[in-house]
Amino acid sequence: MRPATFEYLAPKTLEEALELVGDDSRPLAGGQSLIALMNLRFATPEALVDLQGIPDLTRISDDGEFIRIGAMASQADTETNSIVLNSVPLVAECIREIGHWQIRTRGTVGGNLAHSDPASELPAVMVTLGAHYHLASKRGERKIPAVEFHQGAYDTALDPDEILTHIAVPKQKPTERSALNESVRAAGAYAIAGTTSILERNNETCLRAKLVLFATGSKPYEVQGLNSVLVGKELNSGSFSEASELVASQAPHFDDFHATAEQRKQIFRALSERVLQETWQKFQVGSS
Amino acid sequence: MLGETRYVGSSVLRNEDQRLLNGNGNFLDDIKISGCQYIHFVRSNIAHGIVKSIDISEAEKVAHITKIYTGRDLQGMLQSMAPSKADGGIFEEKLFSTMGDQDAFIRREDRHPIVVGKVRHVGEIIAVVVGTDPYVVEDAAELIIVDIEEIQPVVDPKNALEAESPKIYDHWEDNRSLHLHVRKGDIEAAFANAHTVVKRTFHSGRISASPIETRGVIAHFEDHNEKLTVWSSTQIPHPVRTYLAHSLNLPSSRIRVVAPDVGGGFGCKAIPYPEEILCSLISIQLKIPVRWIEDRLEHFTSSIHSRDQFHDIEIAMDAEGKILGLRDDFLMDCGASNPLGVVQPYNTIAHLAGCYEVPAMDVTATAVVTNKVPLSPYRGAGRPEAVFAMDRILDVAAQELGLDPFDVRRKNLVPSESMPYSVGINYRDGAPIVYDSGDFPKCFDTAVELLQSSCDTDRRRDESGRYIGLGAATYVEGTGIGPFEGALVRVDETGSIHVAIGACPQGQGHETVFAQVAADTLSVDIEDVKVVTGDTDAIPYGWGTLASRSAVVAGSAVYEAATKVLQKVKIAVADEWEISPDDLLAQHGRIFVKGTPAKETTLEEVAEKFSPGGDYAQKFTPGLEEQIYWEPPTVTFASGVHIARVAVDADTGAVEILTYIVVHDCGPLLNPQIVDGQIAGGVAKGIGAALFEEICYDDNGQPMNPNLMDYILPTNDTIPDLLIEHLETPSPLNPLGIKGVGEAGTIPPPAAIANAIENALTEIGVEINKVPVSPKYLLNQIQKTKEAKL
Amino acid sequence: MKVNLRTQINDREIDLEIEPRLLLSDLLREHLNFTGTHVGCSYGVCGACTVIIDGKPARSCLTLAIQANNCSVRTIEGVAASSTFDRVSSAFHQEHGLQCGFCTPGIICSIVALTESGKNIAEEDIDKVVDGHLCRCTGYVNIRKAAKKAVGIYQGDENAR
Ligand SMILES: Cc1cc2nc3c(=O)[nH]c(=O)nc-3n(C[C@H](O)[C@H](O)[C@H](O)COP(=O)(O)OP(=O)(O)OC[C@H]3O[C@@H](n4cnc5c(N)ncnc54)[C@H](O)[C@@H]3O)c2cc1C
Ligand code: FES
Ligand code: FES
Repeated sequence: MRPATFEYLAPKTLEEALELVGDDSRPLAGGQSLIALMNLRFATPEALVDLQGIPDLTRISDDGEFIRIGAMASQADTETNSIVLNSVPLVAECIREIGHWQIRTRGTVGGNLAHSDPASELPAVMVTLGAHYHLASKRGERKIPAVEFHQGAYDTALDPDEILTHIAVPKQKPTERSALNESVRAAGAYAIAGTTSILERNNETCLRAKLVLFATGSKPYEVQGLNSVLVGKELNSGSFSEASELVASQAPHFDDFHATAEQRKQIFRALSERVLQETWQKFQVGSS
Repeated sequence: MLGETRYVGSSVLRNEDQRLLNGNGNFLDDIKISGCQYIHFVRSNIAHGIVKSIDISEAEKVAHITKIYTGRDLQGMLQSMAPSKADGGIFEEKLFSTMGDQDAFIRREDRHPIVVGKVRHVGEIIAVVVGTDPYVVEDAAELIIVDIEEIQPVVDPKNALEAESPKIYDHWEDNRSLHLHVRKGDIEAAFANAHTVVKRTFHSGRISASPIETRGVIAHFEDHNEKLTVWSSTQIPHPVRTYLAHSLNLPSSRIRVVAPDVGGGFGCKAIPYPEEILCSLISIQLKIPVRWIEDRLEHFTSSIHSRDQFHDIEIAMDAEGKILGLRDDFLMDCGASNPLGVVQPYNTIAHLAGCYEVPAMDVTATAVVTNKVPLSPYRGAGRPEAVFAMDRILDVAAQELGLDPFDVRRKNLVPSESMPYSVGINYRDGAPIVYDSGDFPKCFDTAVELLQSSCDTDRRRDESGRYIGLGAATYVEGTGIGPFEGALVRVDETGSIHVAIGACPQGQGHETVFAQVAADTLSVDIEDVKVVTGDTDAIPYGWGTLASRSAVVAGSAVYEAATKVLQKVKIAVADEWEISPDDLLAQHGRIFVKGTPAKETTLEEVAEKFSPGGDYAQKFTPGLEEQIYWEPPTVTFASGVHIARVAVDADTGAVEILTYIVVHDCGPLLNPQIVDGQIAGGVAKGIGAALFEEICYDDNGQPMNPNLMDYILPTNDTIPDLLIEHLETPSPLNPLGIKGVGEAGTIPPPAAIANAIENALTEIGVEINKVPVSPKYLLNQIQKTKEAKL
Repeated sequence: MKVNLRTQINDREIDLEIEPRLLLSDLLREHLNFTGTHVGCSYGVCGACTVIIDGKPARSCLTLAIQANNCSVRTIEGVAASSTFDRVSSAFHQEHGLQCGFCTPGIICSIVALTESGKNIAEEDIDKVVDGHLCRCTGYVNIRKAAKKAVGIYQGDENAR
């Protein structure tokens, strides 16, 4: 279990890097997915373009409206970053569920999103929060919403010559709360099913609601029609249970080694009810 | 028996820790030999088929490749790996002669270490690549093209029994590899007179031992002295040497097998493997040292699996909940071969009645071969399967009778006044099973008291709505099986004590525990004792560490050898001082006359006089050393009770263990901390088997989860702190009164946890008929139950 | 094509021509003879290969040696020479936090990195760190005790025999 040969390229700037990436010349971030695949010889790229030497890509900043997380910011640094903790707490909460500390010290935010593992938490969180991804190539830059970036299992909108440079996550408003909930068999294992949600409230009534499922076998799935069930109401356990019925009727069909499609539907339903409840409770206890 | 002890019985900290903590452990892959080349095995990715061709032409051209071998190249140079007395076969003849059933049989196959013709499971070795770089041998392996003509694989063991099933071994009559039948009492009458009879099927899933250190072999044939040294991450260096001697046609005196620090074994390193033979042969052929380290994928597809038994079990009860009779017909899926023969299935039979009085019993075992990795004992070795069937059927029967399962269990325990208790069938060594010691009711009551004092047993739901339940399971374990283990104890001329044993550890603390025994027997400081293990050149005969046997068998051997050394000392000194040996006392390395401590000598002085040429050496056998091979009369029975309290999330199928109680009786504890460590490790494995671990195959015989992402090992968050109590009823069968403990923890958790889950879900009415209770399985059972009620 | 690696490993300056595909675990074990770093899976799950890179625990099987360029790497051999080590190792020794010892160096590296992180350590932090390691021998019970003792949040079982 050792990688096949490849050429190693270590650009110092983004511009240099953009010259180097291409069809079989892949960006290397933390390597926590890519090197594992290479050790198993499931991936045999001709060249790796190590992005670690480009300092700009690790920056985390607050521009007033968005928190900008550099693609190469390590997951461990991001989860403890005070800007992230204060302004996009769901991102920190989510990253703590990714693998283990020993993985997150090297694994990056951008690498996780670019890998687009269907069982991964972070893409779902980015979809929930309405984040935008900034991509660069020699041809120029573009910005696309998370929901369009993730196109399927291990499938993204990235072209081979593109690099994900940073992610812009809207700051959580004082009237918003968010949460994440997943079913895993043991620490660090990939989720069997997971949900993430955001609720906005005005006085006691719900202004906006969003619920996203992950581990659907494909891209994160946003539950449809949720607003009609929740918005404009004072929420209580009845509303959450009603919302979870919606989930049961919509959850994507995904059957695998760990759960059948029917079972997964049932788990999604239970987790959805809980995650909404948990999000709502955060208003009560005054936490973020 | 030992008199006053300074070390035995106390938690002496381990001698082996220092080197392991600071990175100086000497595990197999840490051994560096100059000029050593790397071996990579090309393995079959087809479950069943005939190898038509192997094209190595591209691979051979890769730089740094020394040689590539296929089965055809090696065929003529090897004897097959015929099963020999070096593995389970040792007791088989005796067992069959006592079984008294004409239909009983065993078929065992001469395995060839590398495929010649037929492939029988994914993972079998097809070619061997040798090269100077570990990366390059993998590059070359990828270029080898293997053409296999597929045959329909045999995957489901039940289908394997059908007449139209393809055969794994063409010359066999059918796919059965073994049939055993044991009975006692009037089974027909028991069932005829029963108030209630219940019957169920229980399946213990297929498990991979998965030690964190995989297997590995270094073989070094030195031409100049024609000596083959093999380092192997094995539990059985001496049997491996015997195997190598037969397969390679070498005198065993020219072979040295060393087990260095071994990173866990649990049974999967307790059989001789093809890789040991192939590496040795290639080292001999190429006259270079070679090394192979199993990768994690290979571990799942070539190291033995275990469990995989389907029990059709039926129990006859009277109205009060007393057991009248038990019928069990079980099927074992032994994969492509059954290297240890009767060991696992017969252990199941021998332990089925467990702690309970079962007046009549009729048990048949059938093993079939299929296109999967061979099955062989893993920690617990047939007993967890027995307890899962027995303690589950007891709970089902209690339900049926409207009785409390704890009460039914308690009522059927062999009473303490019946000890020693004769079960009425034989053990695997052919000797009648007699529970020599123990107090089952007291064990049970202690566990229940611990439970009551540690939690609210009436609580049925927690704040998040999870169901809470309780389950118990009990077990006996025949420990310390023969045939023998050896110990050599020598006092060298500096007074330091050298102990060599055949049993070799994989984390059990042999260097500490046996030093404790030797130090107390000789009455010396433990710092003066050095224990050497796992080296066939250190002691000529040995068996290995497996089957909860080392403390008992090697411990007794060390005790006996040290006792003989001390006798030798006393006889010689008494002779010199013209007194009786009985008047001498040994204490802290000093030998003196009782009551006259002024008249003394030291072990060191005595040892010096025993050196060839020394004073004592003239008159007595030179050398202050004794070598003993201790043969146990039969096994000695440890026993215990586990209680699990679990919380079940019926929506997600997740199970959390809230409380876990162990009451165990392994006789006097040599080192309580090490014993508790063995129990905790065992329980964690039991929890793994109960909730997480199962290797699954698809219809093509492809393993579906041969990796640590999908084959889930228990992690820290899944194992609670344990509440452990000990009873210490001594065994009459060995000089230290001890019983083995290595496997105990692993035995009852599947049954206890499954009982607890079922108890938690009483409201829904779910039955648990299989382990592991994965979310997939549990949610399916819940669904089925709900549908049945509609 | 080979690449040049300059790094510090256990206070030793390394300057080597290596193949890009050389894993850090192999550099340590095969080239520098730091065999205390063990390999149990090669895909990040078991944790046996954990070392400390720039103060943080990381899997050496999922790190190319060249990714450690200009970094400071500590393996168990380097850790064993540090002042934190005695406390951690004696806690593991006293609490029987190891059996076969194969998983142990990785766990010690993680605990030492946590201790040295300057963070105020709570029980939960220890649990999370141990979650990142597989141990097939101990059942984790004594590892948790030892790790908690090492960071001073557990005194040892007073009632222990
Ligand atoms: C034991 C273990 C447990 C894990 N558990 C989880 C878990 O529970 N949840 C989870 O989400 N993940 C989990 N992971 C995966 C982990 O989060 C990875 O770090 C992550 O998926 C990949 O990030 P990386 O920085 O390591 O990327 P790499 O492995 O370096 O790259 C991954 C892919 O993304 C591409 N890429 C990387 N960066 C860019 C970029 N800037 N632009 C374009 N393409 C890029 C690479 O070419 C590659 O194809 C686990 C990993 C391990 C080993
Ligand atoms: S070997 Fe690196 S995590 Fe297992
Ligand atoms: S002590 Fe053996 S794997 Fe942890």
